Amino acid sequence: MLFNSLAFLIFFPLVTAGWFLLPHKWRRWWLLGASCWFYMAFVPVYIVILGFTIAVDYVAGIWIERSEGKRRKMLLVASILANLGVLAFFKYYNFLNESIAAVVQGMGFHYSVPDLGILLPIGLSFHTFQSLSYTIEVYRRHQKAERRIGTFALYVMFWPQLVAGPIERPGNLLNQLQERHDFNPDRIVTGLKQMLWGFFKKLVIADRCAVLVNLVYDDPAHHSGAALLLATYLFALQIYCDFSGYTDIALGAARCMGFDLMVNFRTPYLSRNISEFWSRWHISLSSWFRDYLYIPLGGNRVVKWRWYWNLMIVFLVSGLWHGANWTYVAWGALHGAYLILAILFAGFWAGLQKRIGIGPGKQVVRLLNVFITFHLVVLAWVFFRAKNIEDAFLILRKIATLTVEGLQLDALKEVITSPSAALTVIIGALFLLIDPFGDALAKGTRRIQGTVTQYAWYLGLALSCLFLGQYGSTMFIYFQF
Amino acid sequence: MAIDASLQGRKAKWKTVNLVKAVLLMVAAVAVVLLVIHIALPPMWGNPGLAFKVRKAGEERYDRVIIGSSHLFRQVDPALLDSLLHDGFTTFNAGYPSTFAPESELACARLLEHGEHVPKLILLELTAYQLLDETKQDNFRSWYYMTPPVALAMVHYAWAEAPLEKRNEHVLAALRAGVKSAFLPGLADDLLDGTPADSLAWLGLHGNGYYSLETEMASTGANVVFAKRKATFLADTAILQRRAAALDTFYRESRVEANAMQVQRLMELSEKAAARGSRLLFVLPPLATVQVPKLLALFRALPAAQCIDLCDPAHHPEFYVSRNAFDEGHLNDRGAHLFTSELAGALLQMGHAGPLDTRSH
Repeated sequence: MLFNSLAFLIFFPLVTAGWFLLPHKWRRWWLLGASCWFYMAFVPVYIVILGFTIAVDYVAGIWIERSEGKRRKMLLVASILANLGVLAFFKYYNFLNESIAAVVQGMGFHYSVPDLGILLPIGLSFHTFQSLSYTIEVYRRHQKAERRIGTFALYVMFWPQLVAGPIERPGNLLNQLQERHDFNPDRIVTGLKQMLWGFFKKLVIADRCAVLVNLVYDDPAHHSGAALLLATYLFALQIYCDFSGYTDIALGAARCMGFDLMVNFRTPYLSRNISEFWSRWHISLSSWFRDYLYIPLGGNRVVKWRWYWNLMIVFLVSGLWHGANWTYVAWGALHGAYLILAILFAGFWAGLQKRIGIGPGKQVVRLLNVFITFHLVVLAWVFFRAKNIEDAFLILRKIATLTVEGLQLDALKEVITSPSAALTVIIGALFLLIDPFGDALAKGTRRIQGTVTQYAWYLGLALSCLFLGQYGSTMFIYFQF
Repeated sequence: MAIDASLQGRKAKWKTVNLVKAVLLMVAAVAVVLLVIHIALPPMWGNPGLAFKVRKAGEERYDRVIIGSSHLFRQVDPALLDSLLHDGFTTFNAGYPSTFAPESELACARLLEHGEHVPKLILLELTAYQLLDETKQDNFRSWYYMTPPVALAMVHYAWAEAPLEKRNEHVLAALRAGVKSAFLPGLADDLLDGTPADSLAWLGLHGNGYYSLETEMASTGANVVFAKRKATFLADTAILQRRAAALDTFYRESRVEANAMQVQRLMELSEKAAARGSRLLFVLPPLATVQVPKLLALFRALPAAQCIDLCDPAHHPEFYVSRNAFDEGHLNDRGAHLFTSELAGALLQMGHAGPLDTRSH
């Protein structure tokens, strides 16, 4: 079920009301039923895959807890292989097959392993990673194995974050599922406010930008460098608002029911370097990779070349996690390279700043760093959004060869094809200004003074969603991952 | 301890009341804004072209007005009709592409209910209701007219007419369209990018609302859509014979029952017309393509004295020959001339050509 659908407008109040009205002993089952319903609104049969993951990790958790030594490790490996096996089959089979075919055919040989035409189950990467974190935490003795299958199933399937995260850890969500959650009007208010902010980002910013981005990125060969540049900026806005909008709705909905999910975004485009960006963008995934891949690989407590290697591995895997396409691999590699280069040139950069006489604390340096970081991220988004590597290079080449003459209004008319498209660009620019404020309000770290102003703000958001929103059946980008 | 618990209980209750109040206040504020917008929106805002034609028909005090889809818009020449009827009255073609029930009903009602002048005769193309589904609701034109009564009528229609396995889907789609019409999602873009009331395109070369496909194609240069449609037709002109044969079978064998709700709505319109000194006639044009059995059933359920059948291939074979057709669904200039003449003939035969008959009614 999509958050931005009429069905969800009925589903959410109904499920929340049921959650608080039912006796405590029934509530978890109610929520589990609602989560199944939520997931089955996409492709019902894929709940079987989710059921398999739940069954495997439920049993693995208990057995791991009971075992010691080599057997304990073997059980963990079996759980990881089972989870990654499902992921590999559904997500990477066709990709691997196509890649092998390209190589083999390039060498002049015949290759005829058929494409299975498998449809990727929605949110597979998210719940697979969430389930994996449980078995790993049990293995590390940070978490007790869950004996109640219903509770464990709910941990994997908790509907607000089932299909696009945040990727929760058992220490947070599983423990909250054991607790009693009483009706709390304050939480309902703050939850609804965060949901409204999320809807605004999704409907008014992301989906509006998507229309223009798709127009250009679906056919980059027939668009000018200026149009491609504008579309790339709009995509940066789109993907941020799409994903963080989803997260806000998920966090808000969970908060209404008494749950606190992980914060997944903290105004990432205000980061001053790539390392900071990754501590503010998709935090639940980057911390997952840090805890379960980067640190086990040795992190930065190894020799330098190994440290760089670890970084690159993490980002290549992160790229692949996002999608079975070489564009995602390139996107991951680019981020890995950014981090390695940042480490390599850290000393040089600090020395340069010292020589020029500008310290890192100065506002102008901060702004410059934000500007540079943002553009490095935007550059990488080109690979993320392009249909293939050739398109990505074509787009970059066109943008790179853009001249001042090429930045004429006529070129932008390729993107701004209608009054509503112009409105999109204006709203997008304004959003960048209000985002830090709106984000702080949504997270409850800031409050608007004055009741009238407060109502005006939220009424403005609601009316913007209604009248400025895009209302096709638009999926969230991250559902595909 | 007991006092603490009681205090906390009261505080929680107070907070809950405040929450309910805040939610109600927000809902009320949104409702007020929506109400203001609904009042401020121009009539038939979702189809400025049709709204423009309906308004013009009233303001310029035409005696006969034609309402329907491209089957009337492209095929009835008011100038020819007036010359054939020769009664000194004027006709305006307020037809508009893809205007099916209930949009045409809305246009008709608008003509009857608003403005000082009401035409003496309204010729309304008979079109079947379409079962709505999600794919047909991407454009606001498919739901802007779904006021609560229309939405309920569509729900009723879907419940009665949709195949059992699709019933829920269509009923929900009709409800969804009603909700959209009430809440106006995405209104800003619709208003910003809405089709302008292009006077030439909708009024035709003579300003009487008639613009044949051939004339439009010739006067606007290379119209890719029209050219493609014509080319597709020319590649298989036998489709007309097949359609005529299918229609013939429907005429002779179809036992489909008319939808009572649609019959009722059309009769209400007819009564409304009569109450305002006008007369409403229903026209079934040739080359019908959508829900033909349903259309025929509807046609048969309406009073014969108000119905003009120009569709039956047994009686009007000339509309099913390629020399008179523009494409598989529309007539060319020559066919339109024939069609207008036949319509005039039918009106004369029925004695409903002008205001004299209207008065006698």
